[in-house]
Amino acid sequence: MNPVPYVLSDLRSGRGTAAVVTLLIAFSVAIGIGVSAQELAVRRAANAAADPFDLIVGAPGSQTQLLLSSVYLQPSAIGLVPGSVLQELTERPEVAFLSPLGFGDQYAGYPIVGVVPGFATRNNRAGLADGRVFAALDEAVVGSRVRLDIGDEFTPVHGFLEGGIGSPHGEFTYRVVGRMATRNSPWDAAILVAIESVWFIHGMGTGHAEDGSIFGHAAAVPIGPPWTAVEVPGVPAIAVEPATIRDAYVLRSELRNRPTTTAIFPAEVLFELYALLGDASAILAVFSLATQLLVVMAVLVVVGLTQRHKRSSFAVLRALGAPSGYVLLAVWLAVAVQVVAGVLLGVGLGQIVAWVLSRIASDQTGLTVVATVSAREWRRAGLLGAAALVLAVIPAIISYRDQVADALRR
Amino acid sequence: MTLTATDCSLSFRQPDGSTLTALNDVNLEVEPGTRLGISGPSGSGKTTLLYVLSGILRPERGVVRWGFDELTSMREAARDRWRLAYAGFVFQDFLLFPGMSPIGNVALPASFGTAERAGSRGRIHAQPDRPRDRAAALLERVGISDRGRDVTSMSRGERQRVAIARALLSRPAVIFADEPTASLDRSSAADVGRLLVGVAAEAGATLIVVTHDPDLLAQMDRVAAIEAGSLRDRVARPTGEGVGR
Repeated sequence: MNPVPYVLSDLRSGRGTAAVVTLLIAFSVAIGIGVSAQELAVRRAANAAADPFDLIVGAPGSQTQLLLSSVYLQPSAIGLVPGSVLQELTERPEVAFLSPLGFGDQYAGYPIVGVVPGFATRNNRAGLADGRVFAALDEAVVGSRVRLDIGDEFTPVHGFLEGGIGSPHGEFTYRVVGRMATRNSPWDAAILVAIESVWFIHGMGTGHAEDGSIFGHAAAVPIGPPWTAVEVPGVPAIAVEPATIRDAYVLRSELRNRPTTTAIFPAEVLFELYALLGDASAILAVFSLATQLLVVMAVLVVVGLTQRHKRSSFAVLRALGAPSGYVLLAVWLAVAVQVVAGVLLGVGLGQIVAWVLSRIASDQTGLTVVATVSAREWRRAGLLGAAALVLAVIPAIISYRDQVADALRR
Repeated sequence: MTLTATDCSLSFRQPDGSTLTALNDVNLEVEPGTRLGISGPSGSGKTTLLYVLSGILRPERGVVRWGFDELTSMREAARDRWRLAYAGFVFQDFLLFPGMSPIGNVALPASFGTAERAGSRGRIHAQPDRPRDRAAALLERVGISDRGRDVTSMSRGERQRVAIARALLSRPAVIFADEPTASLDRSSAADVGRLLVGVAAEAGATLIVVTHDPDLLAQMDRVAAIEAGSLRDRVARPTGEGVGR
């Protein structure tokens, strides 16, 4: 028994319908795969972006918000860590390196972050792509994706909104002196300036004892620690590189329990976030698979309906002596060819969908999201295909049980 | 082998709940090599009788025998195998498979599986060893020279010729034809009728034809007239005009 010649002629004569069925299954699989691969890719990218941040100190509040604001530069209003804490941490032996993170201003949608010079070179572990690190109050280093060239000048705007809906900071201008190497994180779209300048243009002094008018004397203001002012201004967050792992836990434990601070390990918060999202992700995966299965079932119903139009063909096969098993196998095989082709095409299309979504996610988050179809996606596609092949038995059985004489008379 | 129907009756339930008697105690004996025409008005039970004789339908009462084999006591799968081994079928609307060439259509029954039949030297395979070669030869016999194109692009007469070639693939002992000329114009009908009778004679096959076509009926050895499910008459050697009208 070899129904292949019949199946091929059947698919050939109904190639329009077969193509639509195959494409519907392919799109269903592709969307599922694209989204699934994307989720994994975003996690990888988020982990990679958080990697340089060992410990973040912030004001008490949401740890997730602190993580999003400091690591991923998501604009939000968060409380300030007292300047005294910054001063204290500068002197603590458990701290190998630290940088305040002063958010709140932007230029052309690029967030301006006040830091110490070493932050731009990851404490001298990474060089700049071009130029040098800022050394004065009015100098800036830009991220790799910021559309400013070395030598360009710009005026910061208060607030987070692109287009400068906020008040420009008077006559203060920055001049770009360097460009960071690509970090594959939202920091590629950031502008780094001295924390002292952020304090200054917000009317909080410079954090150093020798304050005064700096217009025309910007080079005279010291940059970086120690901050010697009687009252050092607060900062939204402090990125800390502890000297040892033990120190990291000591600092976190101590700073977390103070009334004015909290401290987080970004990786730990991400892990908790993933655990929370993981449940939602599993539910989404089930819904996604169920949706795909519904699409496949709808497609199979269409296939079943088209099989009804082929009743006379099946009846002719039977009248010519084809066993009922031949008809059953022929119907199932025709559906199977379309399902398998749809699933394989869907995996290929899924790769494209994942790539497109990656580009969108990268543009929107600043993370470098690279989604690839993994064994997990292949397994899910295989599962869907297997379910479809089992369901395809239904139209096959309906055709197989048909009364030959009735079908021949129609 | 002789095909015999003894006291066969079959009725169908109508959509309105009534019962339609399609066959009523039909008795028929068809000797090997006979050309039998079955005629009668529409709805008289001609096609039902053809299906009962070919094992597609099983009568509620009565027996159909092929030689000593009782078709009516066979399971459906066995009757499928019987048709594959012994029978060929020609339909009114050709019922060829679109998307397939003439040669593919003719050779298709060879893909159904092996079927054996009783021969003078025991059981023999009904299917040809090289089905496409045989299909090509049969198409040549029925006058189809272009064997590669899709059957849907052929004329109705050509399609029925392909269908006749398909019925001959397994060298059938009996050919069933259901209104084989009804969908054709007069000229094509005459050609196809002559062809069908000719190839059946060449093959030494019994030919059982349901038809209203007087010219075709005129080429039959016998005509069984059926009305309201009953074989009303048997006419030997019809003269053509008026038969079956």
